[in-house]
Amino acid sequence: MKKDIIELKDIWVSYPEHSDNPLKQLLSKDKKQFWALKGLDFTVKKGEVLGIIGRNGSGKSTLLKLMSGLIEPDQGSYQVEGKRPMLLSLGAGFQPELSGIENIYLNALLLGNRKKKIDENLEAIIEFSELDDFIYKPVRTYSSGMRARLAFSTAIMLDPEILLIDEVLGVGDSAFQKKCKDAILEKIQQDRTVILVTHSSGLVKQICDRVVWIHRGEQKAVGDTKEIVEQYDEFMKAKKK
Amino acid sequence: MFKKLLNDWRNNKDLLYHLTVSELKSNTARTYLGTLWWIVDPILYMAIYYFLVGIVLNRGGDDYAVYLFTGLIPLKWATACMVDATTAISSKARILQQVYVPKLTFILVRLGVNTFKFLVSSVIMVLFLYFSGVDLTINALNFFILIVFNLLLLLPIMIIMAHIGVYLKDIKNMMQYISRTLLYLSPVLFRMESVPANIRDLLYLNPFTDFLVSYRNIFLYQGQPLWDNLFIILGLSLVLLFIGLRILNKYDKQYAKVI
Repeated sequence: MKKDIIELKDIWVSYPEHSDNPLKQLLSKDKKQFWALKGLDFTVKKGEVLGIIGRNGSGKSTLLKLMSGLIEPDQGSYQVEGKRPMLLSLGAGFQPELSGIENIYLNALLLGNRKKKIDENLEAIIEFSELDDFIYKPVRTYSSGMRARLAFSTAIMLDPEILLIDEVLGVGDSAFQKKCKDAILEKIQQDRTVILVTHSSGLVKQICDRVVWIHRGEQKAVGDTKEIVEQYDEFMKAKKK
Repeated sequence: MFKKLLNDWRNNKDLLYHLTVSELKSNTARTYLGTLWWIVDPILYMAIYYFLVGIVLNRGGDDYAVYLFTGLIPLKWATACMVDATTAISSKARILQQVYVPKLTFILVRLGVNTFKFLVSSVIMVLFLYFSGVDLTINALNFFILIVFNLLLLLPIMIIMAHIGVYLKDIKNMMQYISRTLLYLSPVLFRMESVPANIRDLLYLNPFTDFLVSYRNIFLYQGQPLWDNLFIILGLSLVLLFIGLRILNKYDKQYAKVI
């Protein structure tokens, strides 16, 4: 029996309802709320690969924010053993005017790494990104694929304890996509905990041990990958008709 | 709260340094003059007002150039900090949607960037004073203490501005006018002696007046800062800082929802 590393207990998250008048919204007493997550309740075990699937607008992004500690639940409790998981797809902190190397430091520090650790892994990151001499050029000269490569390399080479993946595998050309996938598979081999959040069941079917299906903020089903993915695909097919 | 602050500081000091340096670098990247702008900027800024008041209106009086310089530089520091603070958190939406970073970090970065520019300007200012024949005494060293007092006033104001800036985007536009008003309500362009006596005391309620008078005392008149007033301001600053940190702490996990 594997140990629980993440535990969500009856999680409810709301957003303040958007209003056209921010001042009125700020001052008014009765605040309208939109509930993005309604009573999620599941655990993630150490070393497992968990898939979280759901359509657009089902609350996946909110769940990601919650798990990486950006927001707190209005109700319920969220507990992580050890360091909070960090979102793998990054590049948010890129400064276009700075070189690739400087951006590796910036991004890795944003991801909560120590400078020493980055120094040690710099070579590996540059090598994995296949950016060669471009690494000395400002990031504004990069193509979008190159940026994604730099971001992914930085995140994966620093070896986070829990990988939180948000459909990143759509980046770069197919050769690099394969490389990303291999790198993730390697982490799975090393018994790392991986959480994959996506709307398509393809990759989930290949790598996940268990799946959580969320729909309109509610937890529709949890369980064995094969079973849940079948239900999900059927549900999606029915929607299309 | 204080324990979290200490922890955040330990975990984020490298990040703070890198963010500040990278912001300074990207500010000047791709400009022709590059880092020279840090030197050109204060000189041009002061030249404009000198031309307007000292030459066109001919209202400056003796030593107007040094008088103006010692007022403009510290006030520009303050207003730049306050205007920049309004977007310190709100402009970082992309980062805050993906990684957890203590919000104080972004405010400290903006404070650091502007303080660095201020220090460069101050070197220019001191050189200018020296070559203008101003008698700089040991009292001028009070400058470093004044900077600390001034920083402790600016930080809480910036925290509050940054917080409001998330919810009310208008604050940035308002701040532009507030800082313009501060320029005219503080003895930057005019001299305190030329103000009617009954208004003069009111002007001292503006903390920046006390700072500007103090800066001038130590640089131009071989005197001491207005210690009494400054200590009162320091006390108020610390109270404000406490309130500001409380607000940041309370809303820490809310910003990512509304940005």
